Amino acid sequence: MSQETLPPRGGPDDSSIANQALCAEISLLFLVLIEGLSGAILKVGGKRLAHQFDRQLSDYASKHAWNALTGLADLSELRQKVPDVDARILTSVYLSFSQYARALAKRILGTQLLRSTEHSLRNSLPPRLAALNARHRIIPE
Amino acid sequence: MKRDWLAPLGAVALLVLYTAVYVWQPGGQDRLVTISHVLYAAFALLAAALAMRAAFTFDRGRPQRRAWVLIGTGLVCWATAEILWAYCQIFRPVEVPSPSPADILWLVGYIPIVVGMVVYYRPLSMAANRRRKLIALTLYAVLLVTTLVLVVQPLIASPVSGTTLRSFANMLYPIADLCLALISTLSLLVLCGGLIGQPWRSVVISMLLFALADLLYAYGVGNQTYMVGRNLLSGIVDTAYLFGYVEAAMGGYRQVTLRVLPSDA
Repeated sequence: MSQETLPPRGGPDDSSIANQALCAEISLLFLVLIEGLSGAILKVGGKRLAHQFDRQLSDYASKHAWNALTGLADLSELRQKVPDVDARILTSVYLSFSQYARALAKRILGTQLLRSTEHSLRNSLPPRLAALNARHRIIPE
Repeated sequence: MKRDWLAPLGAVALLVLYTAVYVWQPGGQDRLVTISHVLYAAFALLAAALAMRAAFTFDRGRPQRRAWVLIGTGLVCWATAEILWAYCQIFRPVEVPSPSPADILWLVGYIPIVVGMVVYYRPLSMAANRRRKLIALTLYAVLLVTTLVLVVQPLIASPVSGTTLRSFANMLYPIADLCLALISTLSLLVLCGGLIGQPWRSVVISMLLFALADLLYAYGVGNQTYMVGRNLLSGIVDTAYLFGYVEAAMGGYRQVTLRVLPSDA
């Protein structure tokens, strides 16, 4: 875990808080990606295609033990709750999910529109999330 | 399970069948004229209905929804023109003036289609690759100049090309078709490689087929060589024209039936 994301050092509770903060931020970054991709598909491909994208991503998450790992029923619950797990594990899970989401979005939108969507998503990130994305590459260059 | 190959297979079967009817002409030339015009009107109507249906795949207020509604409106104008023209050609109630009321409907139909295509392209233009765009613009400029030099200029000079207004209408069609093909190509350049590019591939093919048909038709009418079922030029014109509508219908159909498979990722 990087020093930048940790609060001032203290007891074991501080590391737990830091872990939770990182979980919240990385979850937010992941949400920015999947909602951005789904939004782009909704705009250009229509609601049915966007719905299918969301459903397939949710199915992928279910197949990859999302519920067992986080206790959340599906990915949409991320909007209300932050998973309280080891941030490193959660990051690697999001990396795998984001690769799947990007591959699926590329199939739907094509390379050019996917790149343009990701570019505008990266540019819209607040500095703190942009720094986190630079380290973990949830929305890659 | 949905059968994605059914629609393209149906189009190929129609092509084979229409070519066979065109070559053998069972029932003579009059029957061929009737079959051709009924098919044009039927596929123009189908294309209009599918474009309108495609609009409903988008949320209310989205530019893409407006774009498909506008394209559908233009196709309704074209379908009405086809029905009117078919009636005049099959039943010949009166001497049809040239340009005819159907010509007015065809020309008016271009306006909502152009606007619809621009409305669709505008949000995509941000993602457009400048180099690709330049190549497309250059290619279409070359096509337009070739059209003007090879077909339009001889038509103006031709003593048998008929009234000025009729010649003007005949020249306007291929130019308008090329404009539609260019705008739809610009959208396709951004969307190609993705599922959402599929409807636009059909739309581009459709507009290019209309451009080819209208160009050869103008040439054939100018030189008095166009007559349904009489020669190769007329065969190419009629087949390209029919398949322009078939591909336009295919564009709407593909938009309506777009879906993601689990194996797509």
